[in-house]
Amino acid sequence: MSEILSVRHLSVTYTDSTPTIPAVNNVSLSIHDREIVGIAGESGCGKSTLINAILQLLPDSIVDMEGDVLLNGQNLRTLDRESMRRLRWMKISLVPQSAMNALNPIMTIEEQMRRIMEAHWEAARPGEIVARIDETLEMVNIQRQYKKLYPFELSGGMRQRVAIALALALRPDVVVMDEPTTGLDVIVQRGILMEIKRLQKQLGFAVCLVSHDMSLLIELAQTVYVMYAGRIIESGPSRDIYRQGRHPYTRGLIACFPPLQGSQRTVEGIPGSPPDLGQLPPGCAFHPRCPQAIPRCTDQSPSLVNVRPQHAVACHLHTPDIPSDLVEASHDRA
Amino acid sequence: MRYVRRRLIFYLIAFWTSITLNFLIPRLMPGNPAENLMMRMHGKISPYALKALEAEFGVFQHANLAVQYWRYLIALAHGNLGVSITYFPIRVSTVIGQSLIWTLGLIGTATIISFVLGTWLGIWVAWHRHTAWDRLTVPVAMFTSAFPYFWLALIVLYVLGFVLGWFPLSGAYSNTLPPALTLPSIADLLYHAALPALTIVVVSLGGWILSMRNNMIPSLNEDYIQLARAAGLKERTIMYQYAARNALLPNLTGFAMALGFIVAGGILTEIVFSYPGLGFLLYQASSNQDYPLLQGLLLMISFAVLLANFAVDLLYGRLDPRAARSEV
Amino acid sequence: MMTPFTASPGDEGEALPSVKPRSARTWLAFVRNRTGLIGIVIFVGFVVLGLLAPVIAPGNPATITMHIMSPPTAHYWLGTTAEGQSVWSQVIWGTRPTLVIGFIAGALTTALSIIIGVGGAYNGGALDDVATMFSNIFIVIPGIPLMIVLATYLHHAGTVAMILVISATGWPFGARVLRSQTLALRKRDFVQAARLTGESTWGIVQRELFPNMISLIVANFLSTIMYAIGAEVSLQFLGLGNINTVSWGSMLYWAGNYQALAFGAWWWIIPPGICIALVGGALALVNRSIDEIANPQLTSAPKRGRLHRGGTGS
Ligand SMILES: Nc1ncnc2c1ncn2[C@@H]1O[C@H](COP(=O)(O)OP(=O)(O)OP(=O)(O)O)[C@@H](O)[C@H]1O
Ligand SMILES: [Mg+2]
Repeated sequence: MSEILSVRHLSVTYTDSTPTIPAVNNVSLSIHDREIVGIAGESGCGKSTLINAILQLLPDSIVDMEGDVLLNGQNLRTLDRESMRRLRWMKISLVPQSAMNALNPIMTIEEQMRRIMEAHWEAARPGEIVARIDETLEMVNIQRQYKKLYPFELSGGMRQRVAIALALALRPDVVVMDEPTTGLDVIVQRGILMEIKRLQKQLGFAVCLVSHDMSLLIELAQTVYVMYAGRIIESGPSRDIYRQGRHPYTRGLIACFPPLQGSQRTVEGIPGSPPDLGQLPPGCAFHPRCPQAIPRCTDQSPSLVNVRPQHAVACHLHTPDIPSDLVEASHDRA
Repeated sequence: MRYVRRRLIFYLIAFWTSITLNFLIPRLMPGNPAENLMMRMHGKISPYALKALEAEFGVFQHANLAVQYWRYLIALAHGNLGVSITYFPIRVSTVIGQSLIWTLGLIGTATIISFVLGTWLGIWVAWHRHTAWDRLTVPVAMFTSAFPYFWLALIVLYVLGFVLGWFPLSGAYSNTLPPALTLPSIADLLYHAALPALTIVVVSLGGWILSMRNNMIPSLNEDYIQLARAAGLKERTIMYQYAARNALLPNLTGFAMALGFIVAGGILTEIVFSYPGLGFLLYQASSNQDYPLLQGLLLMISFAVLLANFAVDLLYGRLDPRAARSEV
Repeated sequence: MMTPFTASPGDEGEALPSVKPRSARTWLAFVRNRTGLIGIVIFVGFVVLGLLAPVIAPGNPATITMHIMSPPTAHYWLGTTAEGQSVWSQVIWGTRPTLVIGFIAGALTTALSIIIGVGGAYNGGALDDVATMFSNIFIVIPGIPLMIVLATYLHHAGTVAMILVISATGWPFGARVLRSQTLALRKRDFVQAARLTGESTWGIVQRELFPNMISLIVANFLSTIMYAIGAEVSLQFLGLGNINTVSWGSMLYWAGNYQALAFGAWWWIIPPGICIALVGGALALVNRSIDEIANPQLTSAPKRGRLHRGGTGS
């Protein structure tokens, strides 16, 4: 498996508000060929910011950014505008959060797909584009004749499928999905996620799937990253995370959502609410809510360290007692 | 089409309301203006014409209001608006007919120029919102749209017409060059229309800029714009086809309100430039207390504004699939 | 004529975003918003100018002197009219009737808008349908020509007639905006709750609706003042108002009558026009700041707003 997308020490700070908001803090992650990677975390922990930063959608006027984003070895941060524009959707595409509202209300489905394709397939004949539109819509189980409709004429679930079809239209290497099923009822959600899995197998793209639903990620993804207050606090193969999640927050998240299949467990929420990113508590940002906090947690910020070859945790309970600034997280996998 | 039918019915009702208003106004005014008018005209015009005036205003008639209203509607249906006093014995409809073209040409063209230009500028400053252009445009637009039309007309006339002598001071064409479809004549017409049109455009432009900007900015924040960016559409496509096309819709809804003000401003502008359109005629009719002409003009202006609004509504129906396809 | 675009021409059923908590914070935000402050300062400045007219420009502004059509001098700061009156003194005194008519007509128009818009929407049913129908119709029937016709019949509208004519044609704009806001509020929980607890209609309107609509009503009032001043000045310019009082409109009427510009007497024309534009602009600024507080995106400061604008971050 080769690495397609690699995010290295990415930090994003919103500078358009006072105080400035460090929404993503030193995040590293990587996505391999044909892999589904999950990013979990509560609302407001910076998931969408991370996604938008990866896709270079945050303008300089509102954020300060550090770190690198490599797509097939090419650094997106140093790419000029036009090259970046050409690369979008061909290599990496997005199913946005609230995909239901992400369609232009006054254009037919067909026109929206066509415009995107024309922006990249400059030499394509109209016939090719139409054929691709039909093919892609059929892949997400939308009948061909619906392409003449406007978004307001479709149900929520169908709009969701259209958003996925849009993302797949140019057969990109990586599809980033930011909570692709929020706002849909559970049954429809499930159907769509299964379909994503099927399409992923069929077309062979890699997926970066963002969700606050831990059990869902564990079921779909091979690798899971858990985010809290802008940092990755645990990462590893989903099986390990599920069975041997170390961080109290991870375990809380798993407990929050009973798995879709298997034994029902009681839902025990995490007490308290996520911190205000503008005013993070000192030390480990999770300590005010942590049932197992120890004195060190209140003043030292834990670093991400490997507890097993591919499993890293940022928690004082699981790190050897050495000054944290000497520990360099190394979860670059082979 | 359901939408078109509904709008049509609305404008028919609105037109009927303005007809009825037109009928009621002279009859409801204190001091019986019509009778005064009769007194004034007695002996000056033929008994036949006097009769016509009487019928029109229902003076000395003992028919009840309903009968008068019916007669009024019948006359209107025949295009009979009575006889002008100022231009006696020419019919009001004829007098109006001669002025109509000038107003349509001047105010119509100026409104379209201002709408297109203002909308475009609104799109542009909203797109470049963090630049000095935006910070400059907003207060300037607010200030210029607070100018009274007639005042700006006076200033423009003074500076560009009087002091600099670049443009003619009044009228719609040179006396030596009656309007015709020849090149010199058309140039002459444009030359005369330039200053009044400039006035109308300058004052009304700010409103279009601001309202388009205000619609455009929230529209830039929409999820579909973000998606269009992520999808690598060209900036121009996003700006015009995605953001502006959506933002234009509420701006068109505001057209109805704005049009009334622009027409009003145009009327005052015509007066300052003695431009021979409906506005100037309205002023003359008002100064001469030419009630039949006054009423005919009010009806005509209302009709023109309603028609323009209907046209805009039709355009809206074409641009917004939700209006055309749903029950709204 | 002023264009009250800033009065947010809401289309039908549009829920306005300006439902704000009724706290003092709103007013604080207002003072902090520079746009609004500038507007208020200019507007209050004119009110003070009008109030202090006897102090600033003592004497009767209509007093005729021998110095006719004099350009600005040390004695006549803004020159004189064709009848030798001081333009400076006329502009200062002219503030009074202009603002008074603007204020009263604005208040009356707003009251009509509230009664028709809020009343209709709150009661719903046939009453609302009729009210909506009428406001929609009167929005598309042009007001100024109607005013000109009415004023002609009235043989020069006096102050009262002018106010009535302006209010009679100006109410639908506000009524429409207020109606949609009321409709949006009526669906809100707290209003529903108050209804369930059996609070009286008037009680609900007073305690729940008005506090939430106050910014909208103020905005509407301000744009109505703009409208009223514009209408008033236009009618006076056409000689359809009371041309014997000294006001900005009648100044322009006399200037036109004496062909001031033909004699190059720009000093007679420019000051009243600038004053009208300043007052109108000031009101528009205040209105804009109300908009901006409700909807911070609209602010045109650099690096503000939560928009993800611009292309790549590189
Ligand atoms: N343009 C912006 N300016 C300032 N702060 C912002 C901006 N956008 C987001 N934020 C802040 O950044 C933090 C992270 O937001 P983000 O949208 O990335 O969270 P999220 O994890 O995607 O949450 P959700 O699950 O609700 O989508 C939040 O505290 C949010 O208030
Ligand atoms: Mg998010």
